[in-house]
Amino acid sequence: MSTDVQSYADWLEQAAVPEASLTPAQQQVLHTAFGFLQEAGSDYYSRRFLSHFLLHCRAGLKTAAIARLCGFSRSSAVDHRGLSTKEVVQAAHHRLAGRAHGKLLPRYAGPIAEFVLTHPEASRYDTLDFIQRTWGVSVSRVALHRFLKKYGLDQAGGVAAVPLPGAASPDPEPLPSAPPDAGTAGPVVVTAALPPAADAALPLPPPEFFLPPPSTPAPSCSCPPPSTGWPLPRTASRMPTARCSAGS
Amino acid sequence: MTSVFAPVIGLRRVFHLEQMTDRGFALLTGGRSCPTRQEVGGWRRHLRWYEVDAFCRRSAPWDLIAGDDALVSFDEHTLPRWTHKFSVPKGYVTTRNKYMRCEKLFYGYHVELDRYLCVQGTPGRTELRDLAVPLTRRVLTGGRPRHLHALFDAGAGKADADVRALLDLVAETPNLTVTLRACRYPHRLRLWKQLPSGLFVAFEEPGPYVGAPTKEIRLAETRTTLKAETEETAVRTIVCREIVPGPKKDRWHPLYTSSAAAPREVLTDFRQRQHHEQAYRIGVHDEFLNASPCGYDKDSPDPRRPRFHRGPLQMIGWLIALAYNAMGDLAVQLPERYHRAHVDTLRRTFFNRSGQVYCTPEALIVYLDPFHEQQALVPLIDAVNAQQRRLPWLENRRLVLSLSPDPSPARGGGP
Repeated sequence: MSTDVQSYADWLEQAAVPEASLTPAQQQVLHTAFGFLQEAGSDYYSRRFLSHFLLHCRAGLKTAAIARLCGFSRSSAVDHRGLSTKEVVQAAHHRLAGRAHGKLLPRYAGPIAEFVLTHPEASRYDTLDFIQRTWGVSVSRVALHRFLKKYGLDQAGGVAAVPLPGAASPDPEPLPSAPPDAGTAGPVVVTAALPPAADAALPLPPPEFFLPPPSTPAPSCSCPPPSTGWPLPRTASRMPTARCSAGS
Repeated sequence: MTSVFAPVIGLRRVFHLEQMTDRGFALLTGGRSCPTRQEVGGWRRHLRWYEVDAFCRRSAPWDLIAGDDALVSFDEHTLPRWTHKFSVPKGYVTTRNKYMRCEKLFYGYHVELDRYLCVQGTPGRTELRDLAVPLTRRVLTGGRPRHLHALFDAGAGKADADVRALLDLVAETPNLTVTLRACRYPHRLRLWKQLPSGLFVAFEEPGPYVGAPTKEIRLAETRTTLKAETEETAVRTIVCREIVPGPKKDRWHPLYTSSAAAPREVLTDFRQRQHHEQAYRIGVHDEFLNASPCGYDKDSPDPRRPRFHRGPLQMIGWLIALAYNAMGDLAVQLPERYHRAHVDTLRRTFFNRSGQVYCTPEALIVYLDPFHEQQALVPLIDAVNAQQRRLPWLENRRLVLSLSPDPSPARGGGP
């Protein structure tokens, strides 16, 4: 979208949207949108918010037309169509933060795993916000995607927290299976475990993994019973304190 | 793996595995459930001596001394045994000051680097003089140092023949020097005390504690003729007289040496042998060295003459030594205040920490709960993560160590 648009008709003509094909309601919406652009300017953030509005206002405009009107590519507009308003704001914040700085270190994997596990509905932007808040580094979405994929955190269902000792396992589930070799073609099949709840079942391996039960024979019935030690002093018979009459 | 990590985490006895339910320990030791005491104990009992010897030979850290000058102490550690069923050979236990049933572990120890070099398990009747020459030969052939200065306690020279055997080894090995404390037999001590006072050179040393009066020692150099030998073959002897103020007698520390260095230098080198004794104390109290499996065979048909199995005793003794070496290597990579830290200090500070373990299809993420000294671990953890270690027993998952983002959790609240 060029910035030297002077009139509403020029704007529609530049976007190849014939005015005759628009319904009165659509024309009214686009008039309002044009006024918004005139007032707020045609910077990225204004166009991004306008496209988000036009995509979700149920005016019946086609995505490609909205993309041309707002100056985005069609594929970007298709991507924007699936975002919530919160994610649009987060994306704007992410863009405002400027160029990515800092690095995702491997030792960040633990807190990120905890975040992914406790926020299964979190978007990438939520994770980026968490990273920004926690370590003060701003990383790109691509870097985050690669990091999560490298450590198997890209699917929250595939992450299992090894439970604390003492927790029972009524329904054993295997740990998330390892991926096939890198050279193997085809999609990676991940046996995704359910997101563990607070009292989730332990993911246990198959029974043949465990060591056989101890074969130490139990004590036979002919063995002497185990000693219980000396009797307590208070239960023992008292010693006579009277001197023996040796002379008598 | 359980036997390797037991001294690291502080597992005192093998039967303590019965109460072990920590899933992290299970993952650490190669399984997903904690091993049983029967499994581990059975493996230990059936270790073959030649397999253990091969393991000790191949895992000895000879790279520490290869092509370098080495100051190595050889000494024994006595493990008392309390059995009344089996007639185990007896030996003298110095810490208990009694002659009792025991078994022994003989170690070679690099006193400058504080690392164990080799081990030999024996019955209790074996003495240092029996193994002084073989152990020295083993270090010379295995380590190939540029120069080896071997230090021995008085047990290596109880008889003059033992001293002569060591000196004969020195004569045939050009890059070997031997220093051993001489036994204070009365007739020898009488001769050393009769040395003219002009031979002694006095030195002042700091007292045993801060603010204590300085300690005076006097060093003299003489030669001692061994039994059935002549003056030409007399041994160079450094006589150290420690002046004790007050009514107590002075202390005499005679040293036989083949070194040509100045007496003060020989004494300084020999005093470093105390690091070896300190390592034994750490082994006993922090790594539970005395809980090593017994060497006598409990399945022997005649309890009065039990067979001796070197394998279990030597294997666990060597694993404890390797754990000691590994923790020394770890401490060197930590801030300076942790250098030469004791095993229990490192365990208390860094090893036995609570945390979470996350298992993903690609990695095993160990996430430690925040603790005060965690910043000291950051470079080490980054280095380990950069090595991209994988766990073969966990479907080759990548091991990732992770720290809490909060570096300094608030201490206990107070007004």
